[in-house]
Amino acid sequence: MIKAALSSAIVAVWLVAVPTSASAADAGTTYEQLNLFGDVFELVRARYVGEVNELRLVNAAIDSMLTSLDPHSSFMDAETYGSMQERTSGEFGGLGIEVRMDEGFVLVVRPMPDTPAEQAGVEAGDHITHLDGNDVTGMSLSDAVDLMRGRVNSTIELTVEREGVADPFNITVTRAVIRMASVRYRVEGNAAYILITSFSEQTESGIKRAMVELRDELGDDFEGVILDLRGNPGGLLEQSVAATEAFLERGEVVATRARDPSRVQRYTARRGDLADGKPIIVLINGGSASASEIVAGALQDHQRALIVGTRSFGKGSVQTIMPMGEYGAMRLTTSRYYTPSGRSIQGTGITPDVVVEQAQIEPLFPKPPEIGPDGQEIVPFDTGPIDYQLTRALDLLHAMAVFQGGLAAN
Amino acid sequence: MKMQVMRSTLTAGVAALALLATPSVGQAADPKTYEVLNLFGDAFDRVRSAYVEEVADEALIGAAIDGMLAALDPLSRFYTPEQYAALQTQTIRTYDGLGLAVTMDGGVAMIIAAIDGGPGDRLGLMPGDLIVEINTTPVFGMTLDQTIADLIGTPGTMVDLTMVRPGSDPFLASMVRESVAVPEISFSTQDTTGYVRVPLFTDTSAADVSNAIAAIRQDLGDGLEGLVLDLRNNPGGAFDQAVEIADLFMDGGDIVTSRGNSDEATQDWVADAGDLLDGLPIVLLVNGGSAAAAEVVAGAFKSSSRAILLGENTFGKGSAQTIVPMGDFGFVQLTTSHYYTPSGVSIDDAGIAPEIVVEPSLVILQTRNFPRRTEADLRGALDVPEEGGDEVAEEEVAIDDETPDYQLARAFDLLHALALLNQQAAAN
Repeated sequence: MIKAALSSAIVAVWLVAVPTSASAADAGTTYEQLNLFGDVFELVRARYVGEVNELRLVNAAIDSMLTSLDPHSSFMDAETYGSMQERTSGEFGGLGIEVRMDEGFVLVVRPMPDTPAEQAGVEAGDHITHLDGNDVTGMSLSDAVDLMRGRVNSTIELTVEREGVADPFNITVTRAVIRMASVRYRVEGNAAYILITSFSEQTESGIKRAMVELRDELGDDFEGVILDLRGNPGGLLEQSVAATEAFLERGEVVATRARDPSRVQRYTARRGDLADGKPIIVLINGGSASASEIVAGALQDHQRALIVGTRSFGKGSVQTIMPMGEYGAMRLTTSRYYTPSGRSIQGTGITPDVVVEQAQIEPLFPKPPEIGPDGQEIVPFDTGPIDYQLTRALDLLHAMAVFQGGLAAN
Repeated sequence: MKMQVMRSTLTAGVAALALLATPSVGQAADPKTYEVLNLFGDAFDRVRSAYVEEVADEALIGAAIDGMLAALDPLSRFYTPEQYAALQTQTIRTYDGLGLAVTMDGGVAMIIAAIDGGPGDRLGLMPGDLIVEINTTPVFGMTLDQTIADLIGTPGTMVDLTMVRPGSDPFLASMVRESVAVPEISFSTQDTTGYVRVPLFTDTSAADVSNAIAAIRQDLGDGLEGLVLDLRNNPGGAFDQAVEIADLFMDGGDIVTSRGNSDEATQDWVADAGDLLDGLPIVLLVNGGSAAAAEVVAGAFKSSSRAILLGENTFGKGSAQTIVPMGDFGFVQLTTSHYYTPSGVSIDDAGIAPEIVVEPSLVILQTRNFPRRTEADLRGALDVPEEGGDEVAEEEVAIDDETPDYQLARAFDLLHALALLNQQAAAN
């Protein structure tokens, strides 16, 4: 009885699953393929030696199906998706460190300023070997990151190996809400310097505020804008369009194309240029991806900005988050995007107009330290390393302003 | 180590089992099952309709099945008909290239054992070492088969493995791949004791051990007092040969049992009467690199007290896979049972604990309690003339190239002590 009930029920499921869009010709094989999956699932259920968690099996199947497509499609189970949503709502806390995997350990790329990690003394280059005593060896980066996240005000113990320190030691960090300011800005010379770390919901308003405040501060000295997209991994497509729009009088920003060629979506600039036509330099590097490349590509195609730095990452696809009820959500690549001139940056990236590799600059003949009236050495306020790419961008922008000023005078 | 041979011994049973491939579900399918299957159908449908490119159904379903089976354990997998045909015609030596038997653990590759004389063994790679990168490509996300294929590579090529060993810094293991020979059984005698090393169970292992015992008997005659059987760093192999080897030394009794879930038939392997050594004591040497078939022998000997187990805890890996045909689409290899020792301990678990724990150790003889003082060490001593360079030479302590095998030495001592006890008992 049970057997019969099960088989018929499964057939019903597959009939629902067989897409209505499928042509009659391949519906047969699609059905066969789904049946095969059902058979293997049943075989595992009936005969596997250990406990079988059906949901775990299907989650693994979906994730494997999606990750086989491309590096950006994946499945988030209910827990992962839930924590992603809770993170954006600000209910969940983190440590405020940028990390990547390095030889099986979690490497701290850098602690972010004014975060619990920085306050607790975590340093760039630290290797985290254990999280609350759990060995991170063999963990994926996302597993490790999941462990680091948790409720605000809860604590986590990091076991850290640091170069120059003989033994691993523990650092206790209290989690806090980490707000990634999407836009940071300051005056650099006579330029409005705007750093966009990622494209979130706050990007558009952040750029507007930055332009108002910086132009107010610079007044007539305002020579142009430096838009820093280095290391910006992307984010929301609409926000990249808004960021481009802020500096374009009019014109197409980007077009996305789904598999069906008739499904083209064009995004066009409508509003005025916040920089009033003053020169713009966009800084990019190999870490500038996706939404960053949309901005750089559009401003380059419209000859609105000079692109400076190194070649960008080259991700020309758009993902859609598709919620799957209580089970989580799929992240699926649904379209490719094209710059206004019709080029796809997939795999090739944006090539800068002026290639400037990041470099460390040391003066050949350093000035002797200044001695103050009290006989003490005056320590310069800014002792951080010189950002060579930014320096070159500022030079170019200033030169452009001088040149344009000269033209205007004639 | 994939238990290649263990699988083939089970092939006979496959045909019969295959008939059950259509769900003969003993466990009632709860409503959740349909929901969960619906979830998959929904995901599949969305990919087909919304993905940026057209994808073949077979590719999607193939990836889904691979992912589902990989979530179970490293040895459950799907074979396309082509892959299955290749499997039948070629004998893949999974340890070829670097001489490493590996499994997957926590998403990365874990060394079960380095095969005697292979590049990994020569470099000193140890059971439990983790391989996190192969030529800087992360292993994370790879299946066991992909990992093994990457390790085997082409003989003569270089490979860099990024290794993690618990308790030490990650290190790079650079090796040149080679065709690793099937390691052979070796034997020797020491005083009144025989020594047989089985580095891997192959199709001739039982006969080879039997021959080795005959040769040892011929050498020592009635003087033979016992045997050291060395299964350290033996990652397993031919299951039937391991059973047969246990049988050689057991005068009846259970050797091993395979048990699956409630629907699966239980299978017992029992020893025949007769013991090649007529009850002479055996010390079985095991360590963390003793896995699968080696643990079958260890479990049988320990449960029946036929041997004293000396060394370290074994690896803990022993499962049987069944290959089930899926129509024209291919074959599913599924783990359907685990092996249990006669005392009921699962081999696929914590491993088998030795009765006498002996860690591999360096023996440093302490013949002198304090460093010898010489005239030159005394304060205010006269300068040594240039030509008298003896002092310097003396500081270089000659290190024996051959590190003595401490575990083996302890095994020999133990056997000798047992023999003495037996003599005393006989005398009283």
